[in-house]
Amino acid sequence: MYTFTDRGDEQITLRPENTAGVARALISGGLARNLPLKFFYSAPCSATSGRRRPVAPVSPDGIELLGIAQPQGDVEIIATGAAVLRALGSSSARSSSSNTLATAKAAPAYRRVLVEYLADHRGALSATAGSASSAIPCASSIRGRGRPPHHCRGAVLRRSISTRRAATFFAAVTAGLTTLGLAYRLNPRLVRGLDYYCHTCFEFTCAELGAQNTIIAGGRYDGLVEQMGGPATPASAGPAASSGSPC
Amino acid sequence: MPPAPAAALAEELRRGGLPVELGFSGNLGKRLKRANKLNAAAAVLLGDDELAQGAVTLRDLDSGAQEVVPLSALTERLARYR
Repeated sequence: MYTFTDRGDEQITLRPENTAGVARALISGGLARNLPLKFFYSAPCSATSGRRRPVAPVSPDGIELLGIAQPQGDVEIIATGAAVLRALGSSSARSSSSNTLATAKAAPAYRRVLVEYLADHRGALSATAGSASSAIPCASSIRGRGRPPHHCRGAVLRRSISTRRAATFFAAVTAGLTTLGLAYRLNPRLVRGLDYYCHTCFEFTCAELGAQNTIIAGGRYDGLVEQMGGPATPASAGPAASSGSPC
Repeated sequence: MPPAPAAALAEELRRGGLPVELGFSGNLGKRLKRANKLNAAAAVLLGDDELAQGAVTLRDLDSGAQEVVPLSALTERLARYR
């Protein structure tokens, strides 16, 4: 996330996505009693480039599915992403990939292992990544398609903390995708850049867009609503179409 | 969790332009209650016995009338709810 102090000495953080805002609305609006619920929106947020500086603000469209604990909820979300791209009707090459981030419970242990690993490789990290690695290292450091940077190749993958429960869950998701005839590729390095994601994460990419080629991405965030003070709410989430014109 | 045939059928109907919601949990009564709450016009019930014969139960949520419909005729039968 991009945080800075403005001239009035106030600390400002540009929101990277709108999912947390929807979770907050669910809590403050007392909507959690009426689950499951679906939301869609189009609202501005800040996209950060690979170098963690903000690029032009974007207004991604997103959807959220709250209150569905079953893997089928994730399948619905991914299928919606595929349907949106189908409706846009372009023939450009697109591909979809998925990964499991395992349960939220296992995340702190994973973070410790990853921070230790990155500390050993501090010299190889850029200054920004180095300071970030003690906080939330997963996204900036090990994310990437194709070959990861040399210092990250030995990093433990988030998938490795997967429990049997998480594996069963993810297997149900991929089986659901297959049932719907939705092609996907498993990408063990695919993660979501924010703490609250667990289990399934996915993205659709478009080959024509170059390095920042994700056009739709999302994942499950079972712990978020509770973390923000609401009732425990399983939820999965939001194709956020990023850059201006999907190909 | 809805069985695979339900997810596949929902996808097929959606591709045909119908708005479809899936029942994710709860017994039949609960699911129908939720369908009513959503103002759904009809419910498609997938029972094991009917599915084995390639059919589903179509329930009109206004009248409560229901009939067994072959899967091949479902889209046509649902057209009146458009």
